[in-house]
Amino acid sequence: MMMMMETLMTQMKTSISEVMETMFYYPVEIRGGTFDHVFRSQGTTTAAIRFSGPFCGSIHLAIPEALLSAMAENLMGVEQESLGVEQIQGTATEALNMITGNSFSRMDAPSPFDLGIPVVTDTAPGNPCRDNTLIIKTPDGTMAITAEPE
Amino acid sequence: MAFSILLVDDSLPMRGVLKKTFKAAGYSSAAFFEAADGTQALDTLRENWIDIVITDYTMPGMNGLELLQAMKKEELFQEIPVVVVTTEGNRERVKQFYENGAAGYIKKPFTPEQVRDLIVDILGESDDDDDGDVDDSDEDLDF
Repeated sequence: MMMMMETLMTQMKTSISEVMETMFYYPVEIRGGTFDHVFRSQGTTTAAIRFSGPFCGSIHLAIPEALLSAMAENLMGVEQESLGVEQIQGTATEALNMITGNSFSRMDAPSPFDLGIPVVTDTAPGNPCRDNTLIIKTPDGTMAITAEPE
Repeated sequence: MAFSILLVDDSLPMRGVLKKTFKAAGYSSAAFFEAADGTQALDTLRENWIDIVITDYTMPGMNGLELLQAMKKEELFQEIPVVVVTTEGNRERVKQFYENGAAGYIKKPFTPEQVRDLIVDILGESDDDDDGDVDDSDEDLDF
């Protein structure tokens, strides 16, 4: 499983760049770091998704409010002022869904992974490991993603 | 005649993105219908003339594959092309979509060009193209 987690994190870097550039029009820089640094910041929305397959677990994505609003605006082509809560939170869950699905589809797994429905949560991941965490820097802010195997 | 397009996705932003993408791809005069899951989509299909269904795969309740299977069972809906939009790129899953009668498959993240090419293959050029507003070259479409 350790090797699959390493592969997942490698594929995730590629997927994050692809999703952020194609759907949100953001160039990104990605490095390691701690999830709590972003998660504990004020005004952060966190989305979570469960996965099952060759191994199970969950992935959390934390996005600061200002960045999330800008992402929603870019994604839908709608002015931030006219965006509702459902659209903004939906942008967080959709970003996580795309990054996660894209990452798993790039893995040469023996059987397909199944993804759950992404949700907005205020629950922190149990024990986010630095090795399984990526910090994503964009021109409008920094977000974090962490994968937790079960 | 403008097309009637049914967008099925539990994500409100994704339905917005698809609508924006269709408009950018030259289908701005299309009539758009929306549903948040397969069950709602079937209700919409029963009440409206729909030319094409664009559905997400992962949705609560009836997912995209189940919607596809349900449509193929109903004589009235069998001929309506269904395109599955999903992050799933697994070969087995994609094979499953086609085996169940999907007309096409769009992998997220997608560009407007990818959507346009697939939809034009299925439906043909939109009427919007007739007025010369749409650039049908391979260059990037402008959102």
